[in-house]
Amino acid sequence: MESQDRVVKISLLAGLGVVLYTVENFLPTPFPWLRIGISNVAILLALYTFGFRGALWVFGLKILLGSFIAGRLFSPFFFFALGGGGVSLMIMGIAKRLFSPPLSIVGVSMLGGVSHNITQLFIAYLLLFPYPQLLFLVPILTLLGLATGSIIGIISLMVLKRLEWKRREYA
Amino acid sequence: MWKRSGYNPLRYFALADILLFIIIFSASLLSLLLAKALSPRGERVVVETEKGEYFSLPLSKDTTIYAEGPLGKTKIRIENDRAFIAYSPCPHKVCMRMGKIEREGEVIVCVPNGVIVRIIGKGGLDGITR
Repeated sequence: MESQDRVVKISLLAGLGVVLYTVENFLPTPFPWLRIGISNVAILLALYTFGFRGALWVFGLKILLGSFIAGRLFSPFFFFALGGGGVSLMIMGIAKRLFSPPLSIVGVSMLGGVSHNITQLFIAYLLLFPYPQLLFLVPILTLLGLATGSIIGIISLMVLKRLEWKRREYA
Repeated sequence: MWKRSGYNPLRYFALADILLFIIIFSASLLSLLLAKALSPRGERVVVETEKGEYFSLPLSKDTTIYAEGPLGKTKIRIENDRAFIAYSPCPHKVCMRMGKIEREGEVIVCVPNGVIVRIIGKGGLDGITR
Protein backbone atom coordinates (compact mmCIF):
# COMPACT_ATOMS: atom_id res chain seq x y z
CA MET A 1 0.00 0.00 0.00
CA GLU A 2 2.86 2.36 0.76
CA SER A 3 3.58 4.21 -2.44
CA GLN A 4 7.16 4.84 -3.40
CA ASP A 5 6.63 8.56 -3.17
CA ARG A 6 5.33 8.23 0.35
CA VAL A 7 8.26 6.07 1.41
CA VAL A 8 10.73 8.61 0.02
CA LYS A 9 9.08 11.54 1.77
CA ILE A 10 8.76 9.74 5.07
CA SER A 11 12.46 8.88 4.83
CA LEU A 12 13.24 12.51 4.11
CA LEU A 13 11.36 13.59 7.22
CA ALA A 14 13.14 10.90 9.24
CA GLY A 15 16.45 12.23 7.96
CA LEU A 16 15.42 15.74 8.95
CA GLY A 17 14.52 14.43 12.39
CA VAL A 18 17.86 12.66 12.84
CA VAL A 19 19.82 15.74 11.78
CA LEU A 20 17.89 18.09 14.06
CA TYR A 21 18.18 15.61 16.93
CA THR A 22 21.94 15.30 16.48
CA VAL A 23 22.53 19.02 16.08
CA GLU A 24 20.49 19.78 19.17
CA ASN A 25 22.67 17.41 21.19
CA PHE A 26 25.65 19.60 20.39
CA LEU A 27 24.02 22.84 21.50
CA PRO A 28 24.98 23.93 24.98
CA THR A 29 22.11 24.36 27.44
CA PRO A 30 22.15 25.54 31.03
CA PHE A 31 20.87 22.11 32.16
CA PRO A 32 21.46 18.87 30.30
CA TRP A 33 17.78 17.92 30.51
CA LEU A 34 16.51 21.27 29.26
CA ARG A 35 16.00 20.92 25.52
CA ILE A 36 13.43 22.31 23.19
CA GLY A 37 13.13 19.10 21.17
CA ILE A 38 13.41 20.70 17.76
CA SER A 39 13.49 17.29 16.03
CA ASN A 40 9.82 16.89 16.88
CA VAL A 41 9.10 19.29 14.03
CA ALA A 42 9.78 16.34 11.70
CA ILE A 43 7.34 14.15 13.63
CA LEU A 44 4.62 16.78 13.61
CA LEU A 45 5.07 17.33 9.88
CA ALA A 46 4.83 13.58 9.30
CA LEU A 47 1.73 13.39 11.48
CA TYR A 48 0.04 16.14 9.48
CA THR A 49 1.09 14.96 6.02
CA PHE A 50 1.21 11.16 6.32
CA GLY A 51 -0.94 10.43 9.33
CA PHE A 52 -0.15 8.51 12.47
CA ARG A 53 1.64 5.62 10.75
CA GLY A 54 3.97 7.96 8.91
CA ALA A 55 4.76 9.76 12.15
CA LEU A 56 5.44 6.45 13.86
CA TRP A 57 7.98 5.59 11.15
CA VAL A 58 9.68 8.97 11.48
CA PHE A 59 9.76 8.67 15.27
CA GLY A 60 11.17 5.13 15.24
CA LEU A 61 13.87 5.94 12.72
CA LYS A 62 14.75 9.21 14.43
CA ILE A 63 15.10 7.69 17.86
CA LEU A 64 17.12 4.67 16.67
CA LEU A 65 19.47 6.50 14.33
CA GLY A 66 19.70 9.63 16.50
CA SER A 67 20.58 7.68 19.64
CA PHE A 68 23.01 5.57 17.63
CA ILE A 69 24.83 8.65 16.37
CA ALA A 70 24.87 10.21 19.85
CA GLY A 71 26.37 6.97 21.13
CA ARG A 72 23.64 6.18 23.60
CA LEU A 73 21.55 3.57 21.95
CA PHE A 74 19.91 1.42 24.66
CA SER A 75 21.39 3.60 27.42
CA PRO A 76 19.09 5.07 30.11
CA PHE A 77 18.85 8.26 28.01
CA PHE A 78 17.54 6.20 25.13
CA PHE A 79 14.70 4.80 27.22
CA PHE A 80 13.82 8.26 28.50
CA ALA A 81 13.63 9.52 24.94
CA LEU A 82 11.73 6.44 23.78
CA GLY A 83 9.17 6.62 26.58
CA GLY A 84 8.65 10.38 26.44
CA GLY A 85 8.56 10.52 22.67
CA GLY A 86 6.37 7.43 22.31
CA VAL A 87 3.70 8.59 24.74
CA SER A 88 3.80 12.10 23.36
CA LEU A 89 3.34 10.75 19.82
CA MET A 90 0.35 8.68 20.92
CA ILE A 91 -1.22 11.68 22.66
CA MET A 92 -0.62 13.85 19.61
CA GLY A 93 -2.13 11.21 17.31
CA ILE A 94 -5.24 10.96 19.47
CA ALA A 95 -5.46 14.74 19.88
CA LYS A 96 -5.19 15.29 16.16
CA ARG A 97 -7.86 12.72 15.41
CA LEU A 98 -10.33 13.82 18.08
CA PHE A 99 -9.71 17.52 18.61
CA SER A 100 -7.92 18.78 15.57
CA PRO A 101 -10.79 20.68 14.06
CA PRO A 102 -10.81 23.12 16.95
CA LEU A 103 -7.09 22.71 17.68
CA SER A 104 -4.39 23.38 15.13
CA ILE A 105 -0.97 21.78 14.86
CA VAL A 106 0.17 24.26 17.54
CA GLY A 107 -2.34 22.98 20.08
CA VAL A 108 -1.53 19.37 19.25
CA SER A 109 2.15 20.16 19.72
CA MET A 110 1.46 21.76 23.11
CA LEU A 111 -0.21 18.55 24.28
CA GLY A 112 2.72 16.59 22.92
CA GLY A 113 5.27 18.72 24.78
CA VAL A 114 3.40 18.48 28.07
CA SER A 115 2.85 14.71 27.82
CA HIS A 116 6.49 14.21 26.86
CA ASN A 117 7.73 15.94 30.01
CA ILE A 118 5.22 14.28 32.33
CA THR A 119 6.10 10.83 30.95
CA GLN A 120 9.79 11.45 31.47
CA LEU A 121 9.17 12.54 35.03
CA PHE A 122 7.15 9.37 35.57
CA ILE A 123 9.97 7.23 34.14
CA ALA A 124 12.44 9.06 36.40
CA TYR A 125 10.17 8.31 39.35
CA LEU A 126 10.00 4.61 38.44
CA LEU A 127 13.65 4.08 37.61
CA LEU A 128 15.73 6.66 39.46
CA PHE A 129 14.09 8.56 42.30
CA PRO A 130 11.09 6.85 43.88
CA TYR A 131 10.21 9.86 46.03
CA PRO A 132 6.65 11.18 46.03
CA GLN A 133 8.10 14.71 46.36
CA LEU A 134 8.82 14.46 42.65
CA LEU A 135 5.12 15.23 42.22
CA PHE A 136 5.93 18.86 43.00
CA LEU A 137 7.78 19.03 39.71
CA VAL A 138 4.67 18.22 37.66
CA PRO A 139 3.41 21.82 37.33
CA ILE A 140 6.90 23.12 36.52
CA LEU A 141 7.47 20.47 33.86
CA THR A 142 4.00 21.11 32.49
CA LEU A 143 4.84 24.78 32.05
CA LEU A 144 8.14 23.92 30.38
CA GLY A 145 6.45 21.42 28.06
CA LEU A 146 3.81 23.99 27.22
CA ALA A 147 6.48 26.49 26.25
CA THR A 148 8.57 24.10 24.15
CA GLY A 149 5.47 22.54 22.60
CA SER A 150 4.18 25.95 21.52
CA ILE A 151 7.51 26.89 19.95
CA ILE A 152 7.76 23.56 18.11
CA GLY A 153 4.15 23.86 17.00
CA ILE A 154 4.60 27.36 15.61
CA ILE A 155 7.76 26.30 13.74
CA SER A 156 5.91 23.28 12.33
CA LEU A 157 3.00 25.46 11.26
CA MET A 158 5.36 27.82 9.47
CA VAL A 159 7.03 24.91 7.67
CA LEU A 160 3.74 23.20 6.84
CA LYS A 161 2.41 26.39 5.28
CA ARG A 162 5.34 26.47 2.88
CA LEU A 163 5.51 22.75 2.20
CA GLU A 164 4.81 21.98 -1.47
CA TRP A 165 3.82 18.30 -0.98
CA LYS A 166 0.79 18.94 1.08
CA ARG A 167 -0.56 21.47 -1.40
CA ARG A 168 -0.29 19.09 -4.32
CA GLU A 169 -1.13 15.76 -2.84
CA TYR A 170 -2.51 15.98 0.63
CA ALA A 171 -4.32 19.27 0.84
CA MET B 1 -8.15 14.99 3.07
CA TRP B 2 -8.48 18.51 4.38
CA LYS B 3 -10.26 19.73 1.32
CA ARG B 4 -12.90 17.05 1.66
CA SER B 5 -13.83 18.05 5.18
CA GLY B 6 -13.74 21.70 4.19
CA TYR B 7 -11.31 22.34 6.99
CA ASN B 8 -7.92 23.91 6.62
CA PRO B 9 -5.86 23.49 9.79
CA LEU B 10 -3.45 26.17 8.65
CA ARG B 11 -6.05 28.84 9.16
CA TYR B 12 -6.79 27.50 12.56
CA PHE B 13 -3.96 28.78 14.71
CA ALA B 14 -6.34 30.73 16.80
CA LEU B 15 -8.87 30.56 19.54
CA ALA B 16 -8.73 26.88 20.54
CA ASP B 17 -4.94 26.84 20.75
CA ILE B 18 -4.83 29.99 22.81
CA LEU B 19 -7.59 28.69 25.07
CA LEU B 20 -5.74 25.40 25.57
CA PHE B 21 -2.59 27.32 26.39
CA ILE B 22 -4.36 29.47 28.95
CA ILE B 23 -6.09 26.47 30.55
CA ILE B 24 -2.88 24.42 30.94
CA PHE B 25 -0.90 27.47 32.01
CA SER B 26 -3.29 28.57 34.72
CA ALA B 27 -3.92 25.01 35.94
CA SER B 28 -0.24 24.35 36.50
CA LEU B 29 0.33 27.76 38.01
CA LEU B 30 -2.57 27.20 40.38
CA SER B 31 -1.32 23.78 41.46
CA LEU B 32 2.13 25.25 41.97
CA LEU B 33 0.71 27.81 44.37
CA LEU B 34 -1.50 25.20 46.00
CA ALA B 35 1.46 22.85 46.54
CA LYS B 36 3.33 25.68 48.23
CA ALA B 37 0.39 26.52 50.45
CA LEU B 38 -0.18 22.88 51.40
CA SER B 39 3.40 21.97 52.20
CA PRO B 40 3.79 21.43 55.95
CA ARG B 41 4.83 24.24 58.25
CA GLY B 42 8.23 23.78 59.80
CA GLU B 43 9.02 23.21 63.45
CA ARG B 44 12.51 24.52 63.98
CA VAL B 45 14.89 27.09 62.56
CA VAL B 46 18.43 25.93 61.89
CA VAL B 47 21.17 28.52 61.47
CA GLU B 48 24.60 27.53 60.26
CA THR B 49 27.66 29.70 59.73
CA GLU B 50 30.82 29.31 57.77
CA LYS B 51 32.82 28.69 60.92
CA GLY B 52 30.65 25.70 61.78
CA GLU B 53 28.47 27.34 64.39
CA TYR B 54 25.06 25.74 64.57
CA PHE B 55 21.88 26.96 66.21
CA SER B 56 18.58 25.15 66.26
CA LEU B 57 15.65 27.11 67.64
CA PRO B 58 11.89 26.52 67.78
CA LEU B 59 9.94 28.51 65.23
CA SER B 60 7.21 29.17 67.78
CA LYS B 61 9.24 31.44 70.07
CA ASP B 62 10.02 35.01 69.06
CA THR B 63 13.73 35.72 69.42
CA THR B 64 16.66 37.45 67.80
CA ILE B 65 19.97 35.74 67.24
CA TYR B 66 23.26 36.88 65.79
CA ALA B 67 25.39 34.71 63.54
CA GLU B 68 29.00 35.68 63.18
CA GLY B 69 30.41 35.67 59.65
CA PRO B 70 33.59 36.98 58.02
CA LEU B 71 31.94 40.37 57.36
CA GLY B 72 30.33 40.78 60.75
CA LYS B 73 27.16 39.84 62.55
CA THR B 74 24.03 38.76 60.69
CA LYS B 75 20.89 39.49 62.67
CA ILE B 76 18.27 36.75 62.38
CA ARG B 77 14.83 37.36 63.76
CA ILE B 78 12.14 34.79 64.51
CA GLU B 79 8.76 36.44 64.76
CA ASN B 80 5.17 35.15 64.44
CA ASP B 81 6.36 31.65 63.48
CA ARG B 82 8.47 32.99 60.66
CA ALA B 83 12.20 33.52 60.33
CA PHE B 84 13.96 36.27 58.41
CA ILE B 85 17.22 38.16 58.24
CA ALA B 86 16.72 41.52 59.90
CA TYR B 87 20.15 42.90 59.22
CA SER B 88 23.20 41.71 57.35
CA PRO B 89 26.59 43.37 56.88
CA CYS B 90 26.95 41.98 53.36
CA PRO B 91 27.19 44.45 50.42
CA HIS B 92 24.10 43.62 48.38
CA LYS B 93 21.68 42.63 51.16
CA VAL B 94 20.14 39.95 48.97
CA CYS B 95 19.44 37.80 52.00
CA MET B 96 17.45 40.59 53.64
CA ARG B 97 15.22 40.69 50.59
CA MET B 98 14.67 36.92 50.47
CA GLY B 99 11.63 37.33 52.65
CA LYS B 100 10.29 35.36 55.59
CA ILE B 101 10.38 31.58 55.68
CA GLU B 102 8.08 29.25 57.58
CA ARG B 103 7.65 26.02 55.59
CA GLU B 104 9.65 22.83 55.73
CA GLY B 105 12.62 22.95 53.43
CA GLU B 106 12.63 26.72 52.87
CA VAL B 107 16.05 28.33 53.01
CA ILE B 108 17.62 31.77 53.21
CA VAL B 109 21.27 31.93 52.29
CA CYS B 110 23.68 34.83 52.69
CA VAL B 111 26.59 33.89 50.49
CA PRO B 112 29.00 36.75 51.30
CA ASN B 113 28.68 36.31 55.04
CA GLY B 114 28.42 32.51 54.91
CA VAL B 115 25.15 32.19 56.81
CA ILE B 116 22.46 29.63 56.04
CA VAL B 117 19.02 29.76 57.68
CA ARG B 118 16.65 26.89 57.01
CA ILE B 119 13.45 25.42 58.34
CA ILE B 120 13.18 21.79 59.35
CA GLY B 121 10.13 19.75 60.20
CA LYS B 122 9.16 17.48 63.05
CA GLY B 123 11.22 14.49 62.00
CA GLY B 124 14.25 16.65 61.46
CA LEU B 125 13.84 16.28 57.72
CA ASP B 126 14.94 19.27 55.76
CA GLY B 127 15.02 20.31 52.14
CA ILE B 128 18.31 18.57 51.54
CA THR B 129 17.43 15.13 52.83
CA ARG B 130 14.11 15.37 51.07
